[in-house]
Amino acid sequence: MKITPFHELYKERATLTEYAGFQLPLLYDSIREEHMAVRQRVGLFDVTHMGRAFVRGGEAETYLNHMTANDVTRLEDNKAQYTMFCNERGGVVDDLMAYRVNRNLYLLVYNATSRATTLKWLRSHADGSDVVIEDVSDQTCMVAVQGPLAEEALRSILPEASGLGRFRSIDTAYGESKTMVSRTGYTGENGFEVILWSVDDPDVPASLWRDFVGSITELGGLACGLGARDTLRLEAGFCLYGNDLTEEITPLEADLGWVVKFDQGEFIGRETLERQTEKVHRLRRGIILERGIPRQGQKVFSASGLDIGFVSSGTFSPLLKQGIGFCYVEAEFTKVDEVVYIDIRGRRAAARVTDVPFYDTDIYGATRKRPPLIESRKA
Amino acid sequence: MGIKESNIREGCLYAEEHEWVKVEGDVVTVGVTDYAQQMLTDVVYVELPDVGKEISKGQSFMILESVKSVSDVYSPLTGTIAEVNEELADFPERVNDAPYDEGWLVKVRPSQSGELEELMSAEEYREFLAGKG
Repeated sequence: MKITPFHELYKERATLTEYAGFQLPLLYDSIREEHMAVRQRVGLFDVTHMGRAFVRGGEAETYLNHMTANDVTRLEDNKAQYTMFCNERGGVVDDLMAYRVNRNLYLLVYNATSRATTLKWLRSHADGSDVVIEDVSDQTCMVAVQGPLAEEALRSILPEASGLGRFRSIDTAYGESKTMVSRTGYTGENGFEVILWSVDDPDVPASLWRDFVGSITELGGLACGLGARDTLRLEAGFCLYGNDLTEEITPLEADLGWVVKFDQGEFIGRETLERQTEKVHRLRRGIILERGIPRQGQKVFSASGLDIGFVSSGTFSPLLKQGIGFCYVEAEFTKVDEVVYIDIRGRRAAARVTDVPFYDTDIYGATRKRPPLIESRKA
Repeated sequence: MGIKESNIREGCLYAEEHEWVKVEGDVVTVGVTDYAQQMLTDVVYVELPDVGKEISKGQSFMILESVKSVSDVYSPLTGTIAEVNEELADFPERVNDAPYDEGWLVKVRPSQSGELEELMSAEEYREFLAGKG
């Protein structure tokens, strides 16, 4: 099993789990507390397990527009976009962030669980062009600093990245070591992701991790595990590849139609997706339960008992203190406030269809209108 | 975190699946041990059995859910559910905060008296946990 350059620094503190071939923190002390730290203050995540690859070549832009559903030509240098690779059937091969370094060089950051399939997909379609795919996942490492106080946490460590616009990135340095900082994340909160381009000297990532632990601790923040990463993304309405997105699910079914840009010209999966713009048979929707916690794979029924879909992700929302999840249900049952029934171990639990994010975006998340609601600081 | 020093209450009997049993007349109170609640992490939902339900030793009779996982609770005894801790519906965190007190799960009227003798004493459970470490 692989470990990351930060492993030594948290292995004694964290409850570890295996994910995508890596040994990573599931939680430190409490998923709930780590989750709330990110919503109210700031949290630090090791996200080294994510895939990172460069797409290089004079035809890089043309190649990526053929490969992805979003339109990379809308990017400027140092700008990122959320996008997807689709197959010919419109199903999602992977979802990812595409960063434009320049017109001939893009960085892709994609799912840990699909690293092998994504590289294979990228390389098999690069034949016959001048595009070179360079996988740098194992030669680099990555952390995410997320939460309303992320900017403060970052300022003393990577000052040049301070004030970075959303979905912008900057090449900067941690001491002598080259890094890229982007204002991106997977929690719904304001925050940054930091890539350290070399892990040859283990002291550099170790020192970076210690500095971040120091700065977030001073702000009342916490180091967070994969448990909180999952509850945070769910509350924010974000899909998890393998659960909510698969090769059998299209972006339109996933309610991510905004990602697909038909005016960019030809791209893989376009034909199926264009047909679906007229009618999709099923759609991803948020669900919230008064009682009970939905879990992946559970069946969804209508009030009259029809089998109408399945739960693709489910958890307990630490913020709302209720069971929440995503389900794929037949299109006629997807109106907000529609009540559907989840089969939880043989009992039918009522669930209300709701918009995502699950939280009030005036109070929580990157676009909150008020300063964070801060409870008394922990010692 | 790992499992911290785990609290074992004297005067209770223990099952290998990390439940405790306290005999009070002809009913016994059942809960999960401090070790179990640490393993479970934050309990956020408790699915209690119905009063009157027949339960069998070693069989799952209720569910505890943490944020991340769904866990069966295995019955340390055969018998009938006499009472359930309904407060846990609103305060599931009591299973973590006070596993031997307010976090008790159910009261059972045992039907196989010999089964009590098969459970571990506090001392035996301490050794059992040490053997796992």
